[in-house]
Amino acid sequence: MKVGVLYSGGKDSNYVVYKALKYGYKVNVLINILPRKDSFLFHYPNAKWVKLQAKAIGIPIIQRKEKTFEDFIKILKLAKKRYKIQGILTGALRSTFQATRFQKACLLAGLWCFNPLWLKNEVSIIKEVAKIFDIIIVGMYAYPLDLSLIGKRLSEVLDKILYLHNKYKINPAGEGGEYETFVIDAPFFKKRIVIDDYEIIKDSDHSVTYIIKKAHLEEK
Amino acid sequence: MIGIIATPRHKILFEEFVEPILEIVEKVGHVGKIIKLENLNKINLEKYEAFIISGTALKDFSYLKYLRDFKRLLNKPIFGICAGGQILALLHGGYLINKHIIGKKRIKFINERKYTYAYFLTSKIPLFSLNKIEVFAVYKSIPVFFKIKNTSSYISVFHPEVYNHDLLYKFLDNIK
Repeated sequence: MKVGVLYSGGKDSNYVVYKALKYGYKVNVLINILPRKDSFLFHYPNAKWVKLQAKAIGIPIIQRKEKTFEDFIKILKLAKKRYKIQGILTGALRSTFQATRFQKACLLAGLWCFNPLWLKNEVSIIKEVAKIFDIIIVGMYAYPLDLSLIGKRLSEVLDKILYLHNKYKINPAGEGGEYETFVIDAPFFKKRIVIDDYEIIKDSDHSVTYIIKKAHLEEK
Repeated sequence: MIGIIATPRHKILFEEFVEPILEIVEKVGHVGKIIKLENLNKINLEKYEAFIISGTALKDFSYLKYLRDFKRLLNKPIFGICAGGQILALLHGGYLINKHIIGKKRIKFINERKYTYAYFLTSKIPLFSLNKIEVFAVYKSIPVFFKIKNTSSYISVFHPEVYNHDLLYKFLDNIK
């Protein structure tokens, strides 16, 4: 089956691409939705570099702004028509709000909706992706996560995140928006991403964003 | 052993609809075994104390091809989730109406007079004459969790593996 993947560039959506390919699906397109400023549904600190990720993977990308739910359905229909996909994969993990929106949109667009991370144990996911992907932490938005984690590789700070999860019950996968990630390499990436310049924007001690300013692709 | 009958047509959907049930079964100390639809008519029934029939994706109706193969399971306790409930309904003389219920909805447990949330992902609702079922919970007066009288078949229109593990725990507890 030819499918599209709802893709934010973070660890979960890359894990979904990884799973889709493992199951033998042909991922024809990545779909990156740029949200309205007030939408908490989608992830966006480094949205403009998602196109570079698509290039690294070698899969076309549709990147569009979504103002309404109807916009989202139109984007899925466009992906279906242009890339002949029959289904969409999402990284929905535990949010029934998110899952419902994806399910309804796929239904109205006439697409299968696959959610291979649904109800999975977050600790297992984060341990798995830290092993197989090269992931940078690009946003921290919750106490007690702090500046010491920003810009670091997830594999280097995994123990700290798991410790904070055990002590303070933060979601280890960042499902509640506690932190955001950006994948710079994965087994299915044809080239790796190298970050040449970045800026750290600090809103408070526990709200920090790592903005990629310059990056390029390198042969593996 | 608890047989978890996997209704999804696509293997990737097992991760979403079948594996969470297996986790729940194993969490309470039972041994669970996933049974694919194409193997249903070959299983040794004596090995299984009960069955849970999973749900599947909204677009998936491939399980209806295997309806006949479920008949011989009906003497065992069975919990049908969504698509699984549709199968049980059709085998027990019920019928299905086309109606989408998608998302987190407030349901009412009648006897306890309590409200709670349940996650729905369905396009068909199983219906029976009310005198044929024992209704435990409703959504806007639609029976969404019930037992078929004089059988050990339970039907849940919603997915209890999301918000209502206790219903599966109770079902499994009664088997021990």
